Amino acid sequence: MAYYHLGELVHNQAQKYKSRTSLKFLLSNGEWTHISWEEFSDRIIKTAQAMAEMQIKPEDKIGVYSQNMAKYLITDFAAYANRAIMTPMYATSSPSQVEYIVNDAQ
Amino acid sequence: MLKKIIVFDNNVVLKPEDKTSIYFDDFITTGDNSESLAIVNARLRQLKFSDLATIIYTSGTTGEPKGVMLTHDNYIQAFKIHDIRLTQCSEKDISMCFLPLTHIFEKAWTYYCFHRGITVVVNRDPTKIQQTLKQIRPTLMSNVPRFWEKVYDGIQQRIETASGVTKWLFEDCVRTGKKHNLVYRNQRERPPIGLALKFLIYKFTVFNLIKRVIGIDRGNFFPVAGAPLSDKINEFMQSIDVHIIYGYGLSETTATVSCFLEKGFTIGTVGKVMPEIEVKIGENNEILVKGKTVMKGYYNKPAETAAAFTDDGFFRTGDAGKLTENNEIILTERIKDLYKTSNGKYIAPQMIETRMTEDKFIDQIAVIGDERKFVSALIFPNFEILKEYAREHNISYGSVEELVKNKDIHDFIFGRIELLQAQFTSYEKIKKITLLGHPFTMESGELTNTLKLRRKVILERYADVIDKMYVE
Repeated sequence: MAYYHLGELVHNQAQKYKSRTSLKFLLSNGEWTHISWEEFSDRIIKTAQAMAEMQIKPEDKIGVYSQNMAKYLITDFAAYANRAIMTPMYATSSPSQVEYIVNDAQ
Repeated sequence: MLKKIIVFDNNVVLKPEDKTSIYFDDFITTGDNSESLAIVNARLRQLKFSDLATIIYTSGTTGEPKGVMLTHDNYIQAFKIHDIRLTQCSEKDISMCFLPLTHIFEKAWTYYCFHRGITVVVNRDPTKIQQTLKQIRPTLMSNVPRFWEKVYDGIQQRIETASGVTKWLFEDCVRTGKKHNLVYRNQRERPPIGLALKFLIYKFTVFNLIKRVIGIDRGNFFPVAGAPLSDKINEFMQSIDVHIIYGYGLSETTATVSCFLEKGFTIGTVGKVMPEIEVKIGENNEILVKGKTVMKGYYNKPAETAAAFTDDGFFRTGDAGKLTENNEIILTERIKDLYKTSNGKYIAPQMIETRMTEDKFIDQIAVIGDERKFVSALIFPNFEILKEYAREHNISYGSVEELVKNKDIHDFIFGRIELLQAQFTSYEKIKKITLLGHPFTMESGELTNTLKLRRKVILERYADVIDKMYVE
């Protein structure tokens, strides 16, 4: 089996699996939707570009404070594509816990 | 410094004066130009396995949170050893992403699914999982024991209220499944033809029906970790043909240190040490781990990092356990977590609590007893079925707070506890209980984000209630 840096994992899988379903998630209207490996890869690259545009650099830390969402995973892999570092926080974390992590992960 | 806030949820209303925040959907259009693409492509060419991937803050039950630094190499090594161990999954699988993606267990598992080409279904609202499972019918799902305790309680409830014949049939199903799965299948032996046939019939009727109600009828296997799972519940699930892969891991070890083999696991253990991982037992029975999945250290905490490793480079997990001859880990309670009663006897609170959660009437329990004369417990009952019980027994009440103060209810729950602890030595037995009308929650600080009890907070908050149980 092939082993990839997380920054390129989804893009390599997209070449292999193309239009197969990668992610399923709920839309805000309560309907299920799904995206292919290629769309997953595309959205990651778009998000990575937006991160680069806002001057995110390798080794910068990106925090995620959210429930599970497709956007959460897209953000993770966009960070890895920029060689940035993911710092997750529980959606149930208190403001003081979030404050601690935001300050500590400078 | 916090530079920018990207808002995932479009229902969040941003204030006009807020210049820091932007919706995710707007944000991703901002980089739509060739320069940003060139930057990202250049970075993709420079990826290094030694790059830091994540800093995950451990939600310990005590002390200051510490940021666990994991590199891409740590994740890749985790993929490698899971490929060796988990040969029973493939790109045909569908995995339910239910635990928080902040938890290393779900994070590493979901990434592993991507590595294996497995479709991932994202469950956003944890309270909707029952509905989601029925809609999706996943083949894989990582979970903490609490989920399976609920499933077990639900099945028990149905059986206890069933007619005599149904009850007998179900007991025969469980007996058959246990023999087939835990005696023959697990020892990689061919079952006698009669047993195999009977099992097949039950598998496609009774077991399938139970699983379909939950939405796990297409289940391949279900990783479980993060807290102790009762052996009885584990054995029951295996018997009704739900393949629980019980394991043990930490943020610092990129999740899995040990887990069940597909066949050849031992109930009572947290499975066999993963390939290429070395485990030994140190002072005070501490589990020590060495391997390529072990973290680089705690972020900006050199002293804590140094203290976390032995001289010969093993990571100190802080957990206690034993190793079997077969290199399986048995978790035991840490010495610092033991209670010493005022009579000098040691009590393992977590062991008692794990046993008590087998009872469908008990939703949450905190065992008390440190420096006390005897063991007592605070219990948050399962009100859904307790109310049903009260109705059946004509016990009237106004509010749940009134219901938990009812003597018949108290005696009924205490009676169930006495049955569960019949085999305990006398000083381990719960002598008094207080029923609570509200649960322990994360918001109140009584539970960690991974549902572990913060005993110190509970002792403070319920000091009055606890003291009352010890009044002579």
